[in-house]
Amino acid sequence: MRARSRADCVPGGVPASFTGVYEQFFADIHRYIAGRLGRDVADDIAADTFVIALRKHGSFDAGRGPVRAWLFGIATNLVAQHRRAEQRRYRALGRVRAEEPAGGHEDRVLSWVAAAQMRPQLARALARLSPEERDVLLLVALADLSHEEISQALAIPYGTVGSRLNRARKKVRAALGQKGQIDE
Amino acid sequence: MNELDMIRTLLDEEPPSAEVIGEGRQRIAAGRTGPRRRRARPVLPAVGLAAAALVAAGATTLAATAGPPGSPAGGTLTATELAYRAAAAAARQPEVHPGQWVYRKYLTKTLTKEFPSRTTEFWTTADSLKAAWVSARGRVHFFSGLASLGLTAVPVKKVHGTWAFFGFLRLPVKYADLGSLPRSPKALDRYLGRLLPSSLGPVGDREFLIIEEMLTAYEMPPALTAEFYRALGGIPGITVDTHAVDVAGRHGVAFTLKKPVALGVTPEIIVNPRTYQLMASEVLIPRTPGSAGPAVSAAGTAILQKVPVSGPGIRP
Repeated sequence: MRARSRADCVPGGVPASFTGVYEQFFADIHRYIAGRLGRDVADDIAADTFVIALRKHGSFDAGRGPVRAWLFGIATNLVAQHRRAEQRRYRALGRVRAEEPAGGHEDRVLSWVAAAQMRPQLARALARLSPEERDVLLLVALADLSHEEISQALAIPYGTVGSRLNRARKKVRAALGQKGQIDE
Repeated sequence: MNELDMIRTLLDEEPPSAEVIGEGRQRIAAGRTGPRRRRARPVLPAVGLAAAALVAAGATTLAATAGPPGSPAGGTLTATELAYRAAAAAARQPEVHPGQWVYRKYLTKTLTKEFPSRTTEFWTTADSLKAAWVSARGRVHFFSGLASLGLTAVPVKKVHGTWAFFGFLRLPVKYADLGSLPRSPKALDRYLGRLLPSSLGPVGDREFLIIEEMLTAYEMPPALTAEFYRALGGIPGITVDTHAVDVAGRHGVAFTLKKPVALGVTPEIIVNPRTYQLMASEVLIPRTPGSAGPAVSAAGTAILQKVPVSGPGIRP
């Protein structure tokens, strides 16, 4: 017999199916928010994402797309309420000198050095993107969403996802001094 | 490394701890948003509970309860949840210098007469560039140059009364290249699945086998180890065996595949049911349809001890 969860014992509590959604997606949502706002803030905002999702789940339309995209849309809206904190984070990341790898194979050290040297430019490039471009770029980079999922999460046309992503990546590459075709 | 990989490297954070995950559950049950309050009294939510929309979305049901002492989380434990717990446990481990010597004591069992059961002590650096064993006379013997061949040492044969290294396992990714691996679990799954030939089976099977090799052979940076566990949880057909037993007779929780791999055996990656740290790997021969009894262990390696030490030949 399955043991009763705490939620089962709460009158009007959380339905079992939503508990499954939480367990399946919380870490992904947390990782996305932590990447944008930092880990401490992510603990609260990731939980808020699911509290809001639970409140709204009656209005969720499965026909419009997967629940994962819907959750990332809620998370992105919450992140938007912390734009200044996000900008501060990027500025801080651009200033912090990453720890050097302690010895190791020469190739690995060289690739780490190349990435570390780009850190300030990368952080500044992210801070300078428009909010819309940054949302799309980071939903790809941190959440691994497809273009269709991003379209559903942000309620924007599919074509707009591609154009914003392309612009964002070009700007970042230009800031890093890279040229050439962008590989999808 | 393209700009997306660089962004991940710049922004990636550790996965949430079990404590954070648990606090989130409490907040959802309380319907409370805003900053965490450690000793807040729960507020009963007044929300409509029609669950049909989320059920239709294909949500996975999980009974998130703590099981009785000595057992893993009771009820149904999904591979995703186990992966997150193992990832959180891995992320909390201290960084290990690539050149750090690690003492390993393994129990290995097979069904073949050529390789009987044995307990082996050996030492490797975290990056497997060097390996050493100690003879019955107490002399330290070294193998070196493994990284240039993309190999890691595997104890196979007895030499001078001690199990030593005469087998080498070619790993699909050199330690030096770990930093360039994709960082998101999905991208890591896709990348790893392409490294072994398709003759070994579906891409999910190949991913599982590579992850098992990498987790066992290397002492990877904690964050990367965590990503491997997260990738493991996303493999198609992955499931959980909450009654796994390693070749040392210890009970654990295992990642396993629903269907046997190409050779008709079922591989398992077994973690400690309390700490969620890697405990063992095993290969099972599934039951014949219609027959009773558990699957038979065809081969397995139980990690009895794995500890950083100051040098080869030094025991903890």
